[in-house]
Amino acid sequence: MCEVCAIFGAGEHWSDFARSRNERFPFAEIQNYREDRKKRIAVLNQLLAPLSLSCEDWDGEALNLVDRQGRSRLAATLTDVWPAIKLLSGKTIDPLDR
Amino acid sequence: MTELVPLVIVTGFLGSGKTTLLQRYLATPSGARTGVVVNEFGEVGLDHRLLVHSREQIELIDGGCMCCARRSDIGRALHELVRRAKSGKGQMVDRIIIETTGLADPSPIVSSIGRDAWMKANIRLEQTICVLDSVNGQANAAIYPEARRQIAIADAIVITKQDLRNAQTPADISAFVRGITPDAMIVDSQSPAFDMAAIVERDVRSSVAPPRSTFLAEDSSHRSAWTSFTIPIPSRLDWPVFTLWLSSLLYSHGNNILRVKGLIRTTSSDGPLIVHGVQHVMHPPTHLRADEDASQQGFLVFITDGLERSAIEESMYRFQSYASPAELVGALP
Repeated sequence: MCEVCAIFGAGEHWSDFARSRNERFPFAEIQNYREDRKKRIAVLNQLLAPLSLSCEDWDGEALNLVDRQGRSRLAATLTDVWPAIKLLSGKTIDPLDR
Repeated sequence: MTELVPLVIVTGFLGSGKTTLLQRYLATPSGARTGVVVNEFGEVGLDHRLLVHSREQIELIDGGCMCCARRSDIGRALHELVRRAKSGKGQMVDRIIIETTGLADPSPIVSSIGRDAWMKANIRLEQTICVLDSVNGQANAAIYPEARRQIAIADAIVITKQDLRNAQTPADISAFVRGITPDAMIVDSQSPAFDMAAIVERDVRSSVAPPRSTFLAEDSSHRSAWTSFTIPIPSRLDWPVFTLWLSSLLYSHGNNILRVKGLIRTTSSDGPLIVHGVQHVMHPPTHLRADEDASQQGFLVFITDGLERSAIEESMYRFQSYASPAELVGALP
């Protein structure tokens, strides 16, 4: 846990449960969880590049989206990333668009 | 870590027999330890009077449907029942059942539970059971979109009124249900082997049956643009990319994806995962042991309104191609 922010550093979103989580020791898999997260953010940055946005990790818990003007928006979970992208860029990432 | 109280939603169109079935279950020993939230559309609730059950275990929401006008009341009613479940005083509450109105679309209720932090911390949505009347069920589903949605998001369909003279045959009803949802369990309430307690208490999260045949799984014969289809997934998926793909798909098209469910294997864990979602809301996946369902090929079942299988399948594999490390090198900021 981050002692300054009191953030646990392991998300509770459905996408954060790639491995079965031990209820008693929820952070036993923290390294794997961070690896998945790093990869997800790298791929997300690929998708965001045409929209002039980028995404960075915020303490292993939230995702910080930033545009070229430096405006930023924090998305608490992966679900919140998509409306935040819409707010910053005015565009939607539709996976069905080729 | 506190234990989550299991929740079951019982839905079904007006007059399908929800209250009768619930009554049967509440009479069983485990039913006696069940808290019930009854929602009635009318100004004065009546259904809860038909339920012979400990008064303090019933919460009534009347004067509007909980899927729209009275949604905030679900939270209050559930809070009250969970408080009782955890206090250990008075009547025990081991499980909660929500009986929706016949006119309710259950997906907003599922969504409320999935989005509310308190509910997520205290309640585990186990399954949705849809009660389908063999006499009027099919006709209602043809007319009312709510009735079709009730069937589409259900994990189990209980067919009632098979003893009536003008009931449709079980084969007809099954074919009709399979056209909407390819994988839900179908049971006949008139069968001698029928056990409501076994259905309410079954472990749905760790058992996803693949659709029985591809023919039924790709039925789009409905009057509307509803389609249900299965995408076979023989290989392991990259989990970080899969989650990006599915969450963006649900953000852009969640209103048209009534249900997504399936068994997949990923690069992040040895055993298979069961994923399950309704409209915009996904539930945390259930993990199976690596040796469980070893021979079962991975698959995803979608029930959509107007979205085509080819588009979804193509988009999923296109996203998976982002997973290769070579492509990632240039993209890192």
